[in-house]
Amino acid sequence: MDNQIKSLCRRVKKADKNAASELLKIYYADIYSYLRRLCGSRQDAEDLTQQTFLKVWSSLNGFAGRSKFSTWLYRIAHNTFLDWLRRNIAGTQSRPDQWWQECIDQNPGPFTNLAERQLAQRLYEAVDKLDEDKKHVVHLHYYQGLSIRETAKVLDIATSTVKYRLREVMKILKDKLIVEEKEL
Amino acid sequence: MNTEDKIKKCLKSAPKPAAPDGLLNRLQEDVAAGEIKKRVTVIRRWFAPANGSISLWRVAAAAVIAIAVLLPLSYGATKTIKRIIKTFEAKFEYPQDDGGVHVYGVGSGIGSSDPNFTEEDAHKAEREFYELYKQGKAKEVAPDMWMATLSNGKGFGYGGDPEMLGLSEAERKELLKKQFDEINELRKAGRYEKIYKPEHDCVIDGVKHRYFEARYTLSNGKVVTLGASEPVKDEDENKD
Repeated sequence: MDNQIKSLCRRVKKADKNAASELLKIYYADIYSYLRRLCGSRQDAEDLTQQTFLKVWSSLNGFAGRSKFSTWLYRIAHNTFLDWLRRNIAGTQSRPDQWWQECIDQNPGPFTNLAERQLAQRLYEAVDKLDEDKKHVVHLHYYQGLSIRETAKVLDIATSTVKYRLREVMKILKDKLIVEEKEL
Repeated sequence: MNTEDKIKKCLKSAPKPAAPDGLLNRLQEDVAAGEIKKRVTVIRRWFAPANGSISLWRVAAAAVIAIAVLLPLSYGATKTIKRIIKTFEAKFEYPQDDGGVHVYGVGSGIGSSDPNFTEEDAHKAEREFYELYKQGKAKEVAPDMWMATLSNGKGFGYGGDPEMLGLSEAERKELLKKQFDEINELRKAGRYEKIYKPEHDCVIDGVKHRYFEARYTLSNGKVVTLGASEPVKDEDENKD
C-alpha cells in the first residue's frame, strides 16, 4: 500500500490527473468522516474536505515523502479545521449536530443491544465536550485509527504528550461513566 | 472486560459518517479543472470571490501578509506579478537577553502584471484605493482583505487596515512601534498561538524551513498575525 501511495504521489507531482483521482478515492471518505465528526455539520464537512484537497494539490510538491502521505494529509485537514474553527468562534456557527445519531440509526455496527448503544452515545457525547486538545487526540487515535506516533505528527506534539492526553481522557470518561451508572 | 477496555472498544468502533453522494465527483471536478500543480495559492484564493483574476494587488501591515503572499511568488506565481514596488517599510528591533536581536519587519508593496509599472503608478493606485475605501466603494472580501476597482478598470486588492493609508509615514511608524512593543512583550511571555502551516513550508538558502503563523491578541482586542519560518531541526526531519 505504501509503495502504491508513493507512486501515486510521484505521478500527481507530474500533474497526472488519473493518479490524483486515485488518491482521492483512497482518502476522501476518511478525511470527510474526520471533519464531519469535528465540525458537526455535513455541509461544512464537505467544504472543509474540498479545501483540504485543494491545499493538497497546490502543495504536494513540498511533500518530501519522509512521513506517510496520510499523516501529511491529516495535518492539512487538521489545520484546515482549525482555521475554520477560528472563523466560526464569533458565534455564526450553528449548534453542531450529533454525528453518531445519524450513523447509528443507519448502521448499528457493533452495538447490537440497546445498553451498548446507549453507552456508546454517552461516550461520544462526552468526547465532544472535552477540551479541544484532548478531543483531537481521541478523534485521530481512536476514531480515525492513527497510531500514537502518527497522531503526534499530525498535531505537531510529542508522542509522550499524546499518551498523557489519552490517559487524561480515559480518566475523564471513566469518571463520567461511573457517575452516570451510580445515578441510574 | 474492565471499564477502560469497554471505553476503548467503544471509541475504536465508533461509526464512520458516510461521505455524501456527489462529494467524490465534486472533488474530482477540482482535479479535472486543473487544480493540481496550479500553484496559484493565496493571492488568487483571496480574490476569487470578488474577481476571478487580478492584475494588481497590495500587501501591507504585518510581516505575515508579506510572507504569505510573496512566498508563493518564488514558486511560480510570477507569471501574474511582473513587478513589485515597495511603498512602505519599517523595522523594529528588540535586543534579547542572550545578546541577540529580535527583528520585526513590516512592509507594504504593490505588485502589478505590468512590467513597466512605476513607483508613481504605485502611489497613485494606493491613493485612489484609499479614496474609494473612504467612499465605501471597497469591499472586504475576507478579514482584512479588501478589493476595489480602480478608474483604469484594474482590480486592486489590499491586505491590511486601509486606515493606515490615511496616515503619514511618521504616524504609521509611531503606531506600529507601539504595536510591536506590545507584541514583543507577549512573545517573550510566550503568550501567543503558534500555528504551523505545512503547505507553506519552504527552502531558504538550501535549508528546509517550517512556516508558521504567530497570533497575538493585543490589549485593544486586535489580533495580529505574524508569519515566520524556522529551520527544521534534525529530529523534525520526519515531519514533512
